[in-house]
Amino acid sequence: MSSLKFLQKTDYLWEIPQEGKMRVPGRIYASKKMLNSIRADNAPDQVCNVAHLPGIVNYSLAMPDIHWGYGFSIGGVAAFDLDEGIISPGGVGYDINCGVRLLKTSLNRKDVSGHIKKIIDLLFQSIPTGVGSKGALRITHNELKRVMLDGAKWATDKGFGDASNLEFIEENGQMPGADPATVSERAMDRGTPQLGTLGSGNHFVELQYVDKIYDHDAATTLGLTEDQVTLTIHTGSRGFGYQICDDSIKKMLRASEKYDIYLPDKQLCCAPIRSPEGKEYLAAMACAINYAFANRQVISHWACESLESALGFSKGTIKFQLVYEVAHNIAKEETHLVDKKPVKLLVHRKGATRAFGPGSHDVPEKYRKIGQPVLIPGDMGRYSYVLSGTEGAMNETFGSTCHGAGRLLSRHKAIDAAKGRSIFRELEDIGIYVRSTGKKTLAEEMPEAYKDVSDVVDAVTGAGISNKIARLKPLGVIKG
Amino acid sequence: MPGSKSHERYIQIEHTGDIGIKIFGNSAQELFANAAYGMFDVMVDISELEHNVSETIDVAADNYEELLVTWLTELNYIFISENRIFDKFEITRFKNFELSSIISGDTFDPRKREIYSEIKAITYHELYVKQNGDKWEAQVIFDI
Repeated sequence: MSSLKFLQKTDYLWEIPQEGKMRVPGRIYASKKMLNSIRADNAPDQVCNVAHLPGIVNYSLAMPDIHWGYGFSIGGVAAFDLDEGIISPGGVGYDINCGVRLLKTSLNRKDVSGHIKKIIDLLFQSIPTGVGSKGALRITHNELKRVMLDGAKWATDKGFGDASNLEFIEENGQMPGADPATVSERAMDRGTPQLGTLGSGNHFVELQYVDKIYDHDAATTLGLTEDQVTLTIHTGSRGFGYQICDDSIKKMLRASEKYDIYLPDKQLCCAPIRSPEGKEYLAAMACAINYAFANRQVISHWACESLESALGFSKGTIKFQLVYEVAHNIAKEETHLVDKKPVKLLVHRKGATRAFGPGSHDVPEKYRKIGQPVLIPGDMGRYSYVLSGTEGAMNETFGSTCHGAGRLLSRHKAIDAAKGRSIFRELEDIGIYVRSTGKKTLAEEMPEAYKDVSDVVDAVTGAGISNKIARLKPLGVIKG
Repeated sequence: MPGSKSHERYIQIEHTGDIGIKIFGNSAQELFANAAYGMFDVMVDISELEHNVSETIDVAADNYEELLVTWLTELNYIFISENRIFDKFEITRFKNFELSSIISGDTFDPRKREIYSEIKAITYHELYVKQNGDKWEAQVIFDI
């Protein structure tokens, strides 16, 4: 249990006062009920550790789905001044640009009823899943360099999906500043066979339907209606990103010594943003960001093909449209108001989602009046949410919000709890058909291993940093 | 899953999102060999493994902690890139934070063996290597 002091600021906001070498206070968004479970973890100490880093602005922030990570907590947000501040690979995470995309379809729930098993089986067949899964795409190192530079556009240029969708991806699916020369051979070796693969752990492709609409105007803007069938894809940059992070951490350990940066935890190792080491990581990170954009674009194309084929439709019968795609492990240069003045900052989001409010020019024009769509997957047995960014998020959290349900049980405890049970059957009994490569993944990922995502969503909407638009319910899922 | 017979070599520690192991040994060499065993044991089924392949591994670092991360990272990379799993780690040289080893195991066959967890990386978080007389202990956390 964390012994830290928590000052209640509002019903959904708690402040950890600045103490010792902390440069700013810590702030955690959560309900009182959630705070108790958050305190049982070491995660609040990690919020304080991040507050020690040079150039941090305003607060070291954590979202309600905060849980223990390495170095930075999962659910952490920290913004740094470009001149005084640092960039830390640990503040982005190993799975660089892990993210979520939501596709809407022209299908109604009734159109897929009776076909769920067939659809999920076909999705499972066409999308490589599981530990170290290798893709059907066999690209060369040279082609991989194009992926690093072009991101999702590489995929649409190759015929994976429609280029008109690109504007509905953060950064339009193409992060600037990528430099393939900063990427190691080892990262390329890990990256080439894994493009177009889902991976393992909490990554998934889910067939869903819109079960509830909270904000009808916003839902209309997004083109979401009750009972509409949707697809959600959650994956990231695979071994390519892990290796880039790993390579960078070694360099950043040296850099932290070189620049005399005090680290309460080695995993927070970092370098000044404008240092050669900082610039090198940012250029390599951008390569991994683009890889993940391309990966989701490819998988999404296969998912659409599978859905059509499972229903016996010819190509183009179903209308698919990308609603939006968010990144939740990323660091980006953004302009925010600090003391009422616009300042350029480097915002780290590790297990947190950008949630820009209405009027922001970084939000596609079509959605600008409602704010940026935010996609919050829950566990595979309950529901996911579509939210939007708010003015409150712009004022308080550098335009950021939560990213998911957050784990409740450790993987080990989840496996213990699943002993003697069939998670597959339990989910089937509530109408959700699941395919997964490993039995263990299913146990680790079972619904009760996660917090109820609606608690997390209530906290961010209660705090005014997000607006609730719609809820999606799973019909079937493929897991790693 | 780690069976009771491996408890003297390492134990799995609880963390919400990730997996950690605490490793024991009567010498630094044994500690490093047990750490490698522990990592493969939490990652994949290595029971009754045949020894059809072997490799020589050399790694170096500036201190014990970094050496441990570098060593395990190298082994994880061999698993990922060559699809080989190991349960025997003979440390042939261990001096000045340099380690040489002959590792033995087999090609991984997913039809015969289950993978428990994909290790994305070996982290520096809450990492330690400590010596108390001839008792060595270390802790390492894997990002999975």
